[in-house]
Amino acid sequence: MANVSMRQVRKSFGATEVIHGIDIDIGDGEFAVIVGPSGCGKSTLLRMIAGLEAVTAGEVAIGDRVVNDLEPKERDVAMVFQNYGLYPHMTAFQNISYALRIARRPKAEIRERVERVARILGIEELLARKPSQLSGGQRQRVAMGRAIIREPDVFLFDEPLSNLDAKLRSQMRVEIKRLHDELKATSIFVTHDQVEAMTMADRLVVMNQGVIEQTGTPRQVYRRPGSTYVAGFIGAPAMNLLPATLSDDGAAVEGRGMGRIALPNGAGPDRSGHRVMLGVRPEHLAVVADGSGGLLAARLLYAEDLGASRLLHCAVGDDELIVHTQDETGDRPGDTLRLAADPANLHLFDAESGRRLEAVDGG
Amino acid sequence: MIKRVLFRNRLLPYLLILPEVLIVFVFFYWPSAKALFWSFTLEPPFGGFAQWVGLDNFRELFSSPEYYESAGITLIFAFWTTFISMGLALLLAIFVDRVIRGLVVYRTVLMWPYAVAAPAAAVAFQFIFQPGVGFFAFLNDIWPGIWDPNIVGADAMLMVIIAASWKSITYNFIFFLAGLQAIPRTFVEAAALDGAGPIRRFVTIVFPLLSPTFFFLLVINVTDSFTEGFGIINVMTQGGPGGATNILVYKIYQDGFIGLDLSGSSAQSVVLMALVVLLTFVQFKWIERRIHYAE
Ligand SMILES: Nc1ncnc2c1ncn2[C@@H]1O[C@H](COP(=O)(O)OP(=O)(O)OP(=O)(O)O)[C@@H](O)[C@H]1O
Ligand SMILES: [Mg+2]
Repeated sequence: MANVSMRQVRKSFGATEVIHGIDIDIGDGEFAVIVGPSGCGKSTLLRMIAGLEAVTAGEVAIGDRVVNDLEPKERDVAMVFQNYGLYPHMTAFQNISYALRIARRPKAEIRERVERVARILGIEELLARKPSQLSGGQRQRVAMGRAIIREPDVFLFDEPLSNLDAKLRSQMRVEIKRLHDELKATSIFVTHDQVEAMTMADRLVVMNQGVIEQTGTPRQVYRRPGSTYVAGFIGAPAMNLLPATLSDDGAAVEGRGMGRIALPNGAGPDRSGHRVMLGVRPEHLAVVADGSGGLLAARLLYAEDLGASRLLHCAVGDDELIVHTQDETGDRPGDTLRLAADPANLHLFDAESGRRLEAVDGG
Repeated sequence: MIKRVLFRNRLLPYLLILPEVLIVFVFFYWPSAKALFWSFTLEPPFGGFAQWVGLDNFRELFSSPEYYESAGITLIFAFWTTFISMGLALLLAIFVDRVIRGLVVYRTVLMWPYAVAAPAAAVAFQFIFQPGVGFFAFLNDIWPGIWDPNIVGADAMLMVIIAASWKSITYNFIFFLAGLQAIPRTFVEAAALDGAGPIRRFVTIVFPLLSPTFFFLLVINVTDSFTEGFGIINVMTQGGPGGATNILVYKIYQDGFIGLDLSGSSAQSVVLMALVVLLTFVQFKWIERRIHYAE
């Protein structure tokens, strides 16, 4: 039983602070995914939980123990490293059994447990091989085996799939989730791939520059991004963000090239004249026939054909936006399209702080 | 991984290695061939015609108890010099690796002793180990006669071993440090998470990954101490007292250039060369098998 929590955790390397006071609570058995751009501090966060990096301030707890001053081996966590970190001079069997051998378990028990883990991962045939004789995907599995065999309270994954090709990656994604359903150990998975984040997480943690931007279920984060940063990061292609101004009564926004767009709930008159960002996802925009109203007019720049659907790159005033559509319209670059969206799918953010304005929440 | 370079000009690669080949030829193959020839002849010390004597020189050599004694001394010298300098260098490298990951300045500074010529180092150490001055004079005052490398063979041996070890520690240290720094942190961290303490991590992870460096240094150190001890011994003890530090290379020099027994010392050179080749071969054969070169 282990939940993982961090209280106001900070981390500095020398004079530069890279983690600026993070609070996080991950429940027992949860699969949490930490997502964020390169260099935002994801690995550092994970390494602080593992005990490979000391925290500068704050408190890390696993279960109900504060582990700040505990050695890595006393924390009962297992970690799968980005480059796997398999011991190159040991066979897969020796790699997987290393922790048990260090703990001086009886030989028979070691053999039995390694074989069980190898069966789960489908690597029985590979146990005699050295890492150099394994493919990327196979190494990945051995690295998982090395973590699983210890039956730890907490699993940490540091971008374990980033070295795999697209096909293997989606396969391993499913497999890791299946394993988690089986083992039910608390897992923290770090990635900068938002597809991995969306598909795997019970709880999604979006990080940016050493702070947490938002936590929630993938659905919540997708439906109600808390900031323009999250809106741009989660979902592909990214959410369209257009600068606009709140109308005097706060019930609509106006912007260049888009006319007046009524908001279902309004933003309240106290914010009239406020500069905002209007957000709408490419998949929530539709091309409608001329004259049937719609949200705004856009000039088509070019279209990308993805096979199952198309991405229409359009210009609205000086801004660009993308429409993700499955319609087969015969439009050409230069045409003016009328775009419509369900008002419930509109998002409003403060232009300065980038935070979500709750009053217009479409839910 | 082996890097291959493709040359368009067929002559160029040969031109590029020519200087090196010339140097090796003039200073190694030619003298070696000469020594090999002399070892089968009786060479008059002041020129004139050499007389072919077949294996007589070797027969004489292998029936001389003095020669075996010198060989024994060489083994002791080689073993302790290698052991001390590699052991201390490894220990120092481990300490430094913990502190200065990646700091080039220290490495450069720590390399300097290697640039000191052997005779210069020997002069310094001879001064340090003088029984009549400094620290050892103090010891000799308390326990008269406890230290005198000019008279006591064991003291002299200890002195040259220390001087020779000091000389090669830096070289070994640099290689060990580079080897340690080349080991990715992840391995050690994974082992720490797997429950291994610092000592077990070193034994099970770090040392095996360091073994190519270790093996390389072992070969270099052993062969070096067979041949390179000359500079130190020539300055400090001249093989004395009473032949206590008369290692094979020094005996070759003494017999050949002082005793003017060119043929006898040529025979010794040939044997020493064969010995070094044999040792290197044995090391490759027996130790290299257990080494894990990084993939
Ligand atoms: N040992 C260190 N010394 C100094 N700075 C460090 C150290 N480790 C990390 N940093 C800095 O801390 C910041 C966060 O690094 P971290 O490795 O946690 O990023 P990340 O989110 O894992 O990125 P990526 O997705 O590229 O792996 C970076 O700016 C990095 O330069
Ligand atoms: Mg990282």
